Amino acid sequence: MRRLVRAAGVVALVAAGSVGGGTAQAADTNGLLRLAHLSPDTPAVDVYVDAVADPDAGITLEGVSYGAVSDYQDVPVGSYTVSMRQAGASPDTPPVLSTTVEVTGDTARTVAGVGLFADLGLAIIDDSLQTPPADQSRVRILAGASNAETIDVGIAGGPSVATGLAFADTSEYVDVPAGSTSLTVAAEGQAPAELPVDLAAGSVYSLVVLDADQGLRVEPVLDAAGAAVVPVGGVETGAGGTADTGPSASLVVLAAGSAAAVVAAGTRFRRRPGRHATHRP
Amino acid sequence: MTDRRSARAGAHRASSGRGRKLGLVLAAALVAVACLVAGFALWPDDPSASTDEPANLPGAGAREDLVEWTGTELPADTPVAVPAALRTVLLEAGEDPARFVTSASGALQVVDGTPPAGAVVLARFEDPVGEVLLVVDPAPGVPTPEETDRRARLAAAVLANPGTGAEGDAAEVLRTADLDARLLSLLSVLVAQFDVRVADFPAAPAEPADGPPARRVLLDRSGPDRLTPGSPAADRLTTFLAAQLPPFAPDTVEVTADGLLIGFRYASAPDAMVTSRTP
Repeated sequence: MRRLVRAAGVVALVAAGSVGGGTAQAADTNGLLRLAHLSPDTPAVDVYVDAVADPDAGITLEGVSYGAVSDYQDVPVGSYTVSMRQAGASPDTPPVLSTTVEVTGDTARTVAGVGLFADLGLAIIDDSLQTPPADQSRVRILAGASNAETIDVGIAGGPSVATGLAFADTSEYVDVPAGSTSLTVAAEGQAPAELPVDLAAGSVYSLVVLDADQGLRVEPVLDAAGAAVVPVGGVETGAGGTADTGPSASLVVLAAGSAAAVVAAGTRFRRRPGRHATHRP
Repeated sequence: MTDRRSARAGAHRASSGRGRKLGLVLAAALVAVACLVAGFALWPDDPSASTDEPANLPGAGAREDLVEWTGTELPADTPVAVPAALRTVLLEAGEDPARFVTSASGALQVVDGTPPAGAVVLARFEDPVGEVLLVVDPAPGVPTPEETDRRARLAAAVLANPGTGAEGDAAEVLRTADLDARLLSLLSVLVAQFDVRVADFPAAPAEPADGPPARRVLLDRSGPDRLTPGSPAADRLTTFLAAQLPPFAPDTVEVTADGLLIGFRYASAPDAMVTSRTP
Protein backbone atom coordinates (compact mmCIF):
# COMPACT_ATOMS: atom_id res chain seq x y z
CA MET A 1 0.00 0.00 0.00
CA ARG A 2 2.81 2.34 0.82
CA ARG A 3 4.18 1.82 -2.64
CA LEU A 4 0.84 2.56 -4.16
CA VAL A 5 0.45 5.63 -2.08
CA ARG A 6 3.87 6.74 -3.16
CA ALA A 7 2.47 6.83 -6.61
CA ALA A 8 0.69 9.91 -5.53
CA GLY A 9 3.92 11.74 -5.99
CA VAL A 10 3.39 11.61 -9.68
CA VAL A 11 0.72 14.23 -9.53
CA ALA A 12 1.62 17.71 -10.51
CA LEU A 13 0.30 20.88 -9.09
CA VAL A 14 0.43 24.18 -10.78
CA ALA A 15 0.46 27.30 -8.76
CA ALA A 16 -0.20 30.14 -11.10
CA GLY A 17 -0.17 33.73 -10.04
CA SER A 18 -1.18 36.91 -11.68
CA VAL A 19 0.02 37.81 -15.10
CA GLY A 20 2.86 40.24 -14.95
CA GLY A 21 2.33 41.50 -18.44
CA GLY A 22 0.24 40.20 -21.25
CA THR A 23 -3.46 40.57 -21.33
CA ALA A 24 -4.57 38.82 -18.20
CA GLN A 25 -4.15 40.30 -14.78
CA ALA A 26 -4.67 38.47 -11.53
CA ALA A 27 -5.23 39.96 -8.15
CA ASP A 28 -2.18 39.88 -5.93
CA THR A 29 -4.16 38.11 -3.26
CA ASN A 30 -5.00 35.11 -5.41
CA GLY A 31 -3.18 32.62 -7.53
CA LEU A 32 -4.13 29.64 -9.61
CA LEU A 33 -3.58 25.96 -8.98
CA ARG A 34 -3.48 23.26 -11.59
CA LEU A 35 -2.65 19.61 -11.41
CA ALA A 36 -1.17 17.11 -13.84
CA HIS A 37 -0.25 13.45 -13.85
CA LEU A 38 2.56 12.61 -16.21
CA SER A 39 3.77 9.22 -15.03
CA PRO A 40 2.70 6.53 -17.51
CA ASP A 41 2.78 3.56 -15.15
CA THR A 42 1.48 5.19 -12.00
CA PRO A 43 -2.08 4.56 -10.82
CA ALA A 44 -4.62 7.32 -10.59
CA VAL A 45 -4.65 9.31 -7.39
CA ASP A 46 -6.83 11.62 -5.36
CA VAL A 47 -5.11 14.83 -4.44
CA TYR A 48 -5.69 17.08 -1.46
CA VAL A 49 -4.42 20.63 -1.54
CA ASP A 50 -4.65 22.40 1.80
CA ALA A 51 -3.83 25.96 2.75
CA VAL A 52 -1.54 25.95 5.76
CA ALA A 53 -2.65 29.29 7.14
CA ASP A 54 -6.32 29.17 6.24
CA PRO A 55 -8.38 26.42 7.83
CA ASP A 56 -11.17 26.84 5.29
CA ALA A 57 -9.19 26.75 2.08
CA GLY A 58 -8.66 23.39 0.52
CA ILE A 59 -9.20 21.61 -2.74
CA THR A 60 -9.79 17.98 -3.46
CA LEU A 61 -9.02 16.52 -6.86
CA GLU A 62 -10.33 13.06 -7.45
CA GLY A 63 -9.23 10.39 -9.85
CA VAL A 64 -6.24 12.11 -11.36
CA SER A 65 -4.79 9.70 -13.87
CA TYR A 66 -1.96 9.65 -16.38
CA GLY A 67 -2.18 12.48 -18.83
CA ALA A 68 -4.57 14.51 -16.72
CA VAL A 69 -3.97 18.21 -16.40
CA SER A 70 -6.49 19.76 -14.13
CA ASP A 71 -8.29 23.03 -14.43
CA TYR A 72 -6.87 26.04 -12.73
CA GLN A 73 -8.45 27.07 -9.49
CA ASP A 74 -7.94 30.43 -7.94
CA VAL A 75 -6.75 30.25 -4.38
CA PRO A 76 -5.37 32.75 -1.91
CA VAL A 77 -1.64 33.28 -2.04
CA GLY A 78 0.24 31.40 0.63
CA SER A 79 1.67 28.01 1.51
CA TYR A 80 -0.11 24.82 0.56
CA THR A 81 0.43 21.19 1.32
CA VAL A 82 -0.15 18.60 -1.36
CA SER A 83 -1.22 15.17 -0.18
CA MET A 84 -2.24 12.23 -2.30
CA ARG A 85 -3.93 8.89 -2.06
CA GLN A 86 -4.45 6.14 -4.56
CA ALA A 87 -7.71 6.76 -6.34
CA GLY A 88 -10.47 4.54 -5.07
CA ALA A 89 -8.64 3.65 -1.89
CA SER A 90 -10.63 3.28 1.27
CA PRO A 91 -11.57 6.57 2.88
CA ASP A 92 -9.79 5.27 5.93
CA THR A 93 -6.55 5.32 4.02
CA PRO A 94 -4.65 8.44 4.96
CA PRO A 95 -3.38 10.67 2.20
CA VAL A 96 0.36 11.05 2.10
CA LEU A 97 2.12 14.36 2.19
CA SER A 98 3.99 14.84 -1.06
CA THR A 99 5.21 18.38 -0.98
CA THR A 100 4.50 21.92 0.01
CA VAL A 101 3.94 24.64 -2.54
CA GLU A 102 4.10 28.37 -2.27
CA VAL A 103 1.48 30.23 -4.28
CA THR A 104 2.31 33.82 -4.97
CA GLY A 105 0.38 36.50 -6.71
CA ASP A 106 2.93 37.24 -9.36
CA THR A 107 4.24 33.88 -10.49
CA ALA A 108 2.90 30.80 -12.16
CA ARG A 109 4.33 27.44 -11.29
CA THR A 110 3.80 23.85 -12.24
CA VAL A 111 4.64 21.22 -9.67
CA ALA A 112 4.86 18.22 -11.93
CA GLY A 113 4.82 14.61 -10.97
CA VAL A 114 7.11 13.05 -13.51
CA GLY A 115 9.04 9.93 -14.34
CA LEU A 116 8.19 6.31 -13.96
CA PHE A 117 6.58 4.90 -10.85
CA ALA A 118 9.83 3.35 -9.69
CA ASP A 119 11.60 6.67 -9.90
CA LEU A 120 8.81 9.06 -9.21
CA GLY A 121 9.50 12.73 -8.65
CA LEU A 122 7.79 16.03 -8.24
CA ALA A 123 9.14 18.93 -10.22
CA ILE A 124 8.16 22.55 -9.87
CA ILE A 125 8.06 24.22 -13.23
CA ASP A 126 7.70 27.94 -13.73
CA ASP A 127 4.98 28.85 -16.18
CA SER A 128 5.06 31.83 -18.44
CA LEU A 129 1.73 33.58 -18.57
CA GLN A 130 3.07 36.43 -20.64
CA THR A 131 1.10 36.30 -23.82
CA PRO A 132 3.02 36.52 -27.10
CA PRO A 133 2.46 38.99 -29.94
CA ALA A 134 -0.95 38.79 -31.57
CA ASP A 135 0.14 36.66 -34.52
CA GLN A 136 2.21 34.29 -32.48
CA SER A 137 1.70 31.46 -30.06
CA ARG A 138 4.07 30.56 -27.23
CA VAL A 139 4.64 26.87 -26.67
CA ARG A 140 6.76 24.52 -24.61
CA ILE A 141 7.00 20.75 -24.28
CA LEU A 142 6.29 18.64 -21.24
CA ALA A 143 7.89 15.28 -21.96
CA GLY A 144 5.64 12.71 -20.36
CA ALA A 145 6.13 9.79 -22.73
CA SER A 146 8.25 6.96 -21.48
CA ASN A 147 8.24 5.48 -24.99
CA ALA A 148 10.62 8.23 -25.96
CA GLU A 149 13.85 8.54 -24.03
CA THR A 150 14.45 11.86 -25.73
CA ILE A 151 12.45 13.80 -28.27
CA ASP A 152 12.98 16.52 -30.80
CA VAL A 153 9.93 18.69 -31.40
CA GLY A 154 9.42 21.34 -34.00
CA ILE A 155 6.74 23.11 -35.95
CA ALA A 156 6.47 21.54 -39.39
CA GLY A 157 8.28 23.89 -41.69
CA GLY A 158 8.93 26.19 -38.78
CA PRO A 159 11.10 26.66 -35.75
CA SER A 160 12.36 23.99 -33.39
CA VAL A 161 10.62 23.84 -30.04
CA ALA A 162 12.78 21.32 -28.22
CA THR A 163 15.87 19.31 -29.04
CA GLY A 164 16.98 16.20 -27.19
CA LEU A 165 14.38 16.73 -24.49
CA ALA A 166 14.56 13.87 -22.02
CA PHE A 167 11.57 12.04 -20.60
CA ALA A 168 10.21 13.90 -17.55
CA ASP A 169 11.87 17.18 -18.56
CA THR A 170 10.32 20.43 -19.68
CA SER A 171 11.54 22.68 -22.44
CA GLU A 172 11.72 26.45 -22.51
CA TYR A 173 8.92 28.44 -24.13
CA VAL A 174 9.34 29.31 -27.78
CA ASP A 175 7.26 31.72 -29.85
CA VAL A 176 5.93 30.13 -33.05
CA PRO A 177 3.54 31.24 -35.78
CA ALA A 178 -0.08 30.83 -34.72
CA GLY A 179 -2.61 28.75 -36.63
CA SER A 180 -3.41 25.23 -37.62
CA THR A 181 -0.18 23.40 -38.07
CA SER A 182 1.63 20.17 -37.34
CA LEU A 183 4.15 19.28 -34.73
CA THR A 184 7.03 17.12 -35.85
CA VAL A 185 7.89 14.86 -32.95
CA ALA A 186 10.93 12.70 -33.37
CA ALA A 187 11.68 10.19 -30.68
CA GLU A 188 15.21 8.90 -30.49
CA GLY A 189 15.57 5.93 -32.79
CA GLN A 190 12.09 6.27 -34.26
CA ALA A 191 10.66 7.83 -37.36
CA PRO A 192 9.33 11.38 -36.88
CA ALA A 193 5.60 11.73 -36.44
CA GLU A 194 3.46 14.58 -37.69
CA LEU A 195 0.82 15.51 -35.13
CA PRO A 196 -1.77 18.17 -35.96
CA VAL A 197 -2.33 20.98 -33.53
CA ASP A 198 -4.18 24.28 -33.53
CA LEU A 199 -2.40 27.13 -31.87
CA ALA A 200 -4.44 30.23 -31.22
CA ALA A 201 -2.78 33.56 -31.73
CA GLY A 202 -1.75 35.35 -28.56
CA SER A 203 -1.96 32.19 -26.48
CA VAL A 204 0.48 30.21 -24.36
CA TYR A 205 0.48 26.42 -24.43
CA SER A 206 2.12 23.53 -22.70
CA LEU A 207 2.25 20.74 -25.26
CA VAL A 208 2.17 17.50 -23.33
CA VAL A 209 3.80 14.57 -25.09
CA LEU A 210 2.32 11.31 -23.85
CA ASP A 211 2.54 7.62 -24.51
CA ALA A 212 -0.14 6.40 -26.89
CA ASP A 213 -1.26 2.89 -27.70
CA GLN A 214 1.01 3.16 -30.67
CA GLY A 215 3.73 5.75 -30.50
CA LEU A 216 3.11 9.16 -29.07
CA ARG A 217 0.37 11.70 -28.80
CA VAL A 218 0.42 15.39 -28.02
CA GLU A 219 -2.12 17.18 -25.88
CA PRO A 220 -2.08 20.96 -25.96
CA VAL A 221 -2.84 22.56 -22.62
CA LEU A 222 -3.61 26.23 -22.58
CA ASP A 223 -1.63 28.14 -20.01
CA ALA A 224 -2.78 31.66 -20.86
CA ALA A 225 -4.50 33.43 -23.64
CA GLY A 226 -5.49 36.77 -25.01
CA ALA A 227 -8.93 37.93 -23.90
CA ALA A 228 -10.51 37.34 -27.29
CA VAL A 229 -9.20 33.88 -27.84
CA VAL A 230 -10.25 31.08 -25.59
CA PRO A 231 -13.72 30.03 -24.54
CA VAL A 232 -14.10 28.18 -21.31
CA GLY A 233 -14.49 24.48 -21.76
CA GLY A 234 -12.08 23.46 -24.39
CA VAL A 235 -9.60 24.29 -27.01
CA GLU A 236 -8.62 22.85 -30.25
CA THR A 237 -9.07 19.21 -29.53
CA GLY A 238 -12.55 19.67 -28.21
CA ALA A 239 -12.04 17.93 -24.91
CA GLY A 240 -11.84 19.82 -21.72
CA GLY A 241 -12.49 19.91 -18.08
CA THR A 242 -14.91 21.99 -16.19
CA ALA A 243 -14.49 23.62 -12.86
CA ASP A 244 -17.00 23.26 -10.08
CA THR A 245 -16.17 26.65 -8.75
CA GLY A 246 -15.56 29.64 -10.90
CA PRO A 247 -12.43 31.63 -10.58
CA SER A 248 -12.36 35.24 -9.59
CA ALA A 249 -13.13 37.73 -12.28
CA SER A 250 -9.57 38.91 -12.41
CA LEU A 251 -8.45 35.42 -13.31
CA VAL A 252 -11.10 34.57 -15.83
CA VAL A 253 -8.77 34.58 -18.75
CA LEU A 254 -6.22 32.36 -17.07
CA ALA A 255 -8.84 30.07 -15.69
CA ALA A 256 -10.39 29.78 -19.09
CA GLY A 257 -7.02 28.80 -20.38
CA SER A 258 -6.64 26.17 -17.76
CA ALA A 259 -10.13 24.90 -18.26
CA ALA A 260 -8.98 24.17 -21.73
CA ALA A 261 -6.64 21.57 -20.34
CA VAL A 262 -7.68 18.93 -22.74
CA VAL A 263 -6.67 15.99 -20.65
CA ALA A 264 -8.43 17.10 -17.55
CA ALA A 265 -11.37 14.75 -17.85
CA GLY A 266 -11.92 12.81 -14.67
CA THR A 267 -10.39 15.45 -12.51
CA ARG A 268 -12.72 17.26 -10.20
CA PHE A 269 -12.17 20.23 -8.00
CA ARG A 270 -14.26 21.14 -5.08
CA ARG A 271 -13.71 23.62 -2.41
CA ARG A 272 -13.80 22.02 0.95
CA PRO A 273 -16.46 23.40 3.24
CA GLY A 274 -14.17 23.34 6.22
CA ARG A 275 -11.01 21.95 7.64
CA HIS A 276 -12.44 18.56 8.42
CA ALA A 277 -14.39 17.62 5.39
CA THR A 278 -16.06 14.25 5.56
CA HIS A 279 -14.00 12.85 2.74
CA ARG A 280 -10.88 13.37 4.77
CA PRO A 281 -10.74 10.71 7.44
CA MET B 1 63.47 9.18 90.30
CA THR B 2 62.99 12.50 88.72
CA ASP B 3 64.70 11.14 85.73
CA ARG B 4 62.39 8.16 85.70
CA ARG B 5 59.41 10.38 86.21
CA SER B 6 60.79 12.50 83.59
CA ALA B 7 61.40 9.41 81.60
CA ARG B 8 57.86 8.20 82.20
CA ALA B 9 56.56 11.60 81.61
CA GLY B 10 58.65 11.65 78.54
CA ALA B 11 57.52 8.19 77.72
CA HIS B 12 53.98 9.22 78.42
CA ARG B 13 54.33 12.29 76.18
CA ALA B 14 55.98 10.14 73.62
CA SER B 15 53.27 7.60 74.00
CA SER B 16 50.66 10.30 73.94
CA GLY B 17 52.24 11.83 70.82
CA ARG B 18 52.32 8.48 69.07
CA GLY B 19 48.71 7.99 70.02
CA ARG B 20 47.74 11.32 68.47
CA LYS B 21 49.73 10.50 65.38
CA LEU B 22 48.11 7.12 65.22
CA GLY B 23 44.74 8.74 65.67
CA LEU B 24 45.48 11.17 62.89
CA VAL B 25 46.62 8.37 60.65
CA LEU B 26 43.52 6.37 61.45
CA ALA B 27 41.34 9.40 60.89
CA ALA B 28 43.02 10.09 57.61
CA ALA B 29 42.61 6.49 56.64
CA LEU B 30 38.96 6.59 57.56
CA VAL B 31 38.51 9.74 55.53
CA ALA B 32 40.27 8.13 52.63
CA VAL B 33 38.16 5.02 52.91
CA ALA B 34 35.06 7.16 53.17
CA CYS B 35 36.11 9.07 50.09
CA LEU B 36 36.75 5.86 48.23
CA VAL B 37 33.41 4.48 49.28
CA ALA B 38 31.70 7.68 48.27
CA GLY B 39 33.58 7.70 45.01
CA PHE B 40 32.56 4.18 44.18
CA ALA B 41 29.04 4.97 45.18
CA LEU B 42 28.89 7.95 42.87
CA TRP B 43 30.84 6.41 39.98
CA PRO B 44 28.76 4.08 37.87
CA ASP B 45 29.78 0.50 37.49
CA ASP B 46 32.35 0.07 34.80
CA PRO B 47 33.15 -3.54 34.22
CA SER B 48 35.40 -2.66 31.34
CA ALA B 49 37.46 -0.22 33.33
CA SER B 50 41.10 -1.15 33.59
CA THR B 51 44.18 0.47 34.94
CA ASP B 52 45.53 1.09 31.50
CA GLU B 53 42.54 3.18 30.40
CA PRO B 54 43.53 6.63 29.25
CA ALA B 55 42.89 9.28 31.86
CA ASN B 56 40.44 11.11 29.57
CA LEU B 57 38.27 8.10 28.76
CA PRO B 58 34.73 9.02 29.70
CA GLY B 59 33.03 7.09 32.44
CA ALA B 60 30.68 4.24 31.82
CA GLY B 61 27.64 6.38 32.51
CA ALA B 62 28.48 8.86 29.81
CA ARG B 63 29.34 6.04 27.44
CA GLU B 64 26.03 4.35 28.04
CA ASP B 65 24.24 7.65 27.53
CA LEU B 66 26.13 8.15 24.29
CA VAL B 67 25.25 4.71 23.00
CA GLU B 68 21.60 5.08 23.94
CA TRP B 69 21.43 8.51 22.37
CA THR B 70 22.89 7.37 19.08
CA GLY B 71 20.36 4.57 19.03
CA THR B 72 17.38 6.84 19.46
CA GLU B 73 18.45 10.10 17.89
CA LEU B 74 20.47 9.10 14.84
CA PRO B 75 19.61 7.11 11.74
CA ALA B 76 21.03 3.61 11.90
CA ASP B 77 23.49 4.30 9.11
CA THR B 78 24.96 7.49 10.52
CA PRO B 79 28.55 6.90 11.66
CA VAL B 80 29.94 8.57 14.74
CA ALA B 81 33.66 9.18 14.93
CA VAL B 82 35.05 8.62 18.41
CA PRO B 83 38.57 8.63 19.87
CA ALA B 84 40.37 5.35 19.35
CA ALA B 85 40.50 4.45 23.04
CA LEU B 86 36.78 5.08 23.42
CA ARG B 87 36.03 3.03 20.32
CA THR B 88 38.00 0.13 21.71
CA VAL B 89 35.95 0.17 24.87
CA LEU B 90 32.68 0.52 22.96
CA LEU B 91 33.48 -2.35 20.65
CA GLU B 92 34.54 -4.51 23.56
CA ALA B 93 31.12 -3.77 24.98
CA GLY B 94 29.56 -5.11 21.80
CA GLU B 95 28.69 -1.91 20.00
CA ASP B 96 28.44 -1.72 16.21
CA PRO B 97 31.83 -1.05 14.58
CA ALA B 98 30.05 0.62 11.66
CA ARG B 99 28.36 3.04 14.02
CA PHE B 100 31.40 3.97 16.04
CA VAL B 101 34.35 4.70 13.82
CA THR B 102 37.59 6.51 14.28
CA SER B 103 37.09 8.66 11.21
CA ALA B 104 34.68 8.77 8.34
CA SER B 105 33.56 11.26 5.79
CA GLY B 106 30.32 12.82 6.88
CA ALA B 107 30.53 11.32 10.32
CA LEU B 108 29.40 13.05 13.44
CA GLN B 109 32.11 13.40 16.05
CA VAL B 110 32.45 12.77 19.74
CA VAL B 111 34.73 15.26 21.43
CA ASP B 112 35.50 15.88 25.05
CA GLY B 113 34.91 19.46 26.01
CA THR B 114 35.28 21.98 23.24
CA PRO B 115 33.47 21.62 19.90
CA PRO B 116 35.40 22.42 16.75
CA ALA B 117 34.74 25.71 15.00
CA GLY B 118 31.64 25.64 12.88
CA ALA B 119 30.27 22.55 14.54
CA VAL B 120 26.84 22.29 16.05
CA VAL B 121 26.51 20.45 19.35
CA LEU B 122 23.86 17.77 19.15
CA ALA B 123 24.18 16.27 22.61
CA ARG B 124 26.10 16.85 25.80
CA PHE B 125 26.84 14.15 28.37
CA GLU B 126 28.54 14.76 31.67
CA ASP B 127 29.99 12.38 34.21
CA PRO B 128 29.47 12.87 37.94
CA VAL B 129 33.08 13.91 38.09
CA GLY B 130 32.54 16.56 35.48
CA GLU B 131 33.94 14.85 32.40
CA VAL B 132 32.04 16.28 29.43
CA LEU B 133 31.35 14.39 26.25
CA LEU B 134 29.90 16.18 23.23
CA VAL B 135 28.38 14.79 20.06
CA VAL B 136 28.87 17.34 17.31
CA ASP B 137 28.13 17.69 13.64
CA PRO B 138 31.36 19.22 12.36
CA ALA B 139 29.80 20.36 9.09
CA PRO B 140 26.05 20.81 9.41
CA GLY B 141 24.20 21.31 6.16
CA VAL B 142 23.55 24.90 5.22
CA PRO B 143 20.21 25.55 3.53
CA THR B 144 20.21 27.51 0.32
CA PRO B 145 18.62 30.97 0.34
CA GLU B 146 15.61 29.46 -1.40
CA GLU B 147 15.32 26.77 1.24
CA THR B 148 15.66 29.30 4.01
CA ASP B 149 12.97 31.42 2.43
CA ARG B 150 10.68 28.44 1.97
CA ARG B 151 11.13 27.43 5.57
CA ALA B 152 10.39 30.94 6.77
CA ARG B 153 7.24 31.20 4.66
CA LEU B 154 5.95 27.84 5.74
CA ALA B 155 6.66 28.49 9.41
CA ALA B 156 4.90 31.83 9.14
CA ALA B 157 1.90 30.14 7.58
CA VAL B 158 1.76 27.56 10.36
CA LEU B 159 1.94 30.33 12.94
CA ALA B 160 -0.74 32.31 11.12
CA ASN B 161 -3.22 29.45 11.28
CA PRO B 162 -5.59 30.35 14.10
CA GLY B 163 -5.72 26.76 15.25
CA THR B 164 -1.98 26.44 15.83
CA GLY B 165 -2.20 28.34 19.10
CA ALA B 166 1.55 28.39 19.67
CA GLU B 167 2.65 30.65 22.49
CA GLY B 168 5.90 31.63 24.15
CA ASP B 169 8.91 29.59 23.13
CA ALA B 170 6.88 27.51 20.71
CA ALA B 171 5.72 30.63 18.90
CA GLU B 172 9.28 31.89 18.83
CA VAL B 173 10.47 28.68 17.20
CA LEU B 174 7.93 29.21 14.44
CA ARG B 175 8.60 32.91 14.22
CA THR B 176 12.29 32.25 13.64
CA ALA B 177 11.63 29.15 11.53
CA ASP B 178 14.17 27.38 13.71
CA LEU B 179 12.87 23.91 13.08
CA ASP B 180 13.81 20.96 10.97
CA ALA B 181 12.39 21.25 7.46
CA ARG B 182 10.98 17.71 7.61
CA LEU B 183 9.15 18.46 10.83
CA LEU B 184 7.93 21.77 9.50
CA SER B 185 6.50 20.18 6.38
CA LEU B 186 4.77 17.52 8.38
CA LEU B 187 3.49 20.04 10.89
CA SER B 188 2.10 22.16 8.10
CA VAL B 189 -0.09 19.35 6.83
CA LEU B 190 -1.19 18.46 10.35
CA VAL B 191 -2.19 22.05 10.96
CA ALA B 192 -3.95 22.28 7.62
CA GLN B 193 -5.81 18.98 7.81
CA PHE B 194 -6.19 18.17 11.48
CA ASP B 195 -6.37 21.56 13.16
CA VAL B 196 -3.68 20.59 15.63
CA ARG B 197 -2.49 22.87 18.41
CA VAL B 198 1.23 23.20 19.06
CA ALA B 199 2.04 23.00 22.75
CA ASP B 200 5.82 22.89 22.58
CA PHE B 201 8.91 22.05 20.62
CA PRO B 202 10.72 20.05 23.27
CA ALA B 203 14.45 19.64 22.89
CA ALA B 204 15.76 16.23 22.00
CA PRO B 205 17.41 14.33 24.85
CA ALA B 206 20.78 15.76 25.93
CA GLU B 207 20.44 18.54 23.40
CA PRO B 208 21.84 21.90 24.46
CA ALA B 209 19.91 25.13 24.11
CA ASP B 210 22.02 26.19 21.14
CA GLY B 211 21.60 22.86 19.39
CA PRO B 212 20.24 22.20 15.92
CA PRO B 213 16.78 23.29 14.73
CA ALA B 214 13.89 21.70 16.60
CA ARG B 215 12.99 18.26 15.37
CA ARG B 216 10.34 17.35 17.92
CA VAL B 217 6.91 18.82 18.47
CA LEU B 218 4.28 18.23 21.12
CA LEU B 219 0.68 18.60 19.98
CA ASP B 220 -2.00 18.71 22.63
CA ARG B 221 -5.22 19.17 20.65
CA SER B 222 -6.78 18.34 17.33
CA GLY B 223 -9.66 20.71 16.92
CA PRO B 224 -11.68 20.48 20.12
CA ASP B 225 -10.28 17.07 21.05
CA ARG B 226 -7.44 16.53 23.46
CA LEU B 227 -4.70 14.22 22.24
CA THR B 228 -4.43 11.68 25.00
CA PRO B 229 -3.63 7.97 24.96
CA GLY B 230 -6.47 6.05 23.40
CA SER B 231 -8.42 9.07 22.25
CA PRO B 232 -9.99 8.83 18.79
CA ALA B 233 -8.26 12.04 17.77
CA ALA B 234 -4.87 10.65 18.75
CA ASP B 235 -5.60 7.40 16.95
CA ARG B 236 -6.59 9.28 13.83
CA LEU B 237 -3.35 11.22 13.88
CA THR B 238 -1.13 8.24 14.58
CA THR B 239 -2.74 6.42 11.67
CA PHE B 240 -2.02 9.36 9.43
CA LEU B 241 1.55 9.62 10.65
CA ALA B 242 2.17 5.91 10.17
CA ALA B 243 1.23 6.22 6.51
CA GLN B 244 3.66 9.00 5.70
CA LEU B 245 6.74 8.36 3.63
CA PRO B 246 10.30 9.66 3.84
CA PRO B 247 11.42 12.31 4.29
CA PHE B 248 8.18 13.28 6.00
CA ALA B 249 7.67 10.06 7.93
CA PRO B 250 8.50 10.76 11.57
CA ASP B 251 10.84 8.46 13.44
CA THR B 252 8.98 8.61 16.72
CA VAL B 253 5.31 9.04 17.49
CA GLU B 254 4.30 8.81 21.11
CA VAL B 255 0.99 9.61 22.73
CA THR B 256 1.47 10.80 26.29
CA ALA B 257 -0.71 12.41 28.88
CA ASP B 258 0.64 15.74 27.66
CA GLY B 259 -0.20 15.11 24.05
CA LEU B 260 1.18 13.63 20.88
CA LEU B 261 4.96 13.82 20.61
CA ILE B 262 6.40 13.61 17.11
CA GLY B 263 10.11 13.44 16.46
CA PHE B 264 12.67 13.01 13.74
CA ARG B 265 16.15 11.64 14.12
CA TYR B 266 18.92 14.08 13.44
CA ALA B 267 19.78 14.83 9.84
CA SER B 268 22.61 17.11 8.89
CA ALA B 269 20.79 18.66 5.93
CA PRO B 270 17.02 18.26 6.33
CA ASP B 271 16.27 21.13 3.97
CA ALA B 272 18.09 19.32 1.19
CA MET B 273 16.12 16.17 1.95
CA VAL B 274 12.88 18.07 1.51
CA THR B 275 14.15 19.79 -1.60
CA SER B 276 15.00 16.43 -3.12
CA ARG B 277 11.30 15.59 -3.00
CA THR B 278 10.42 18.75 -4.88
CA PRO B 279 13.41 19.92 -6.90
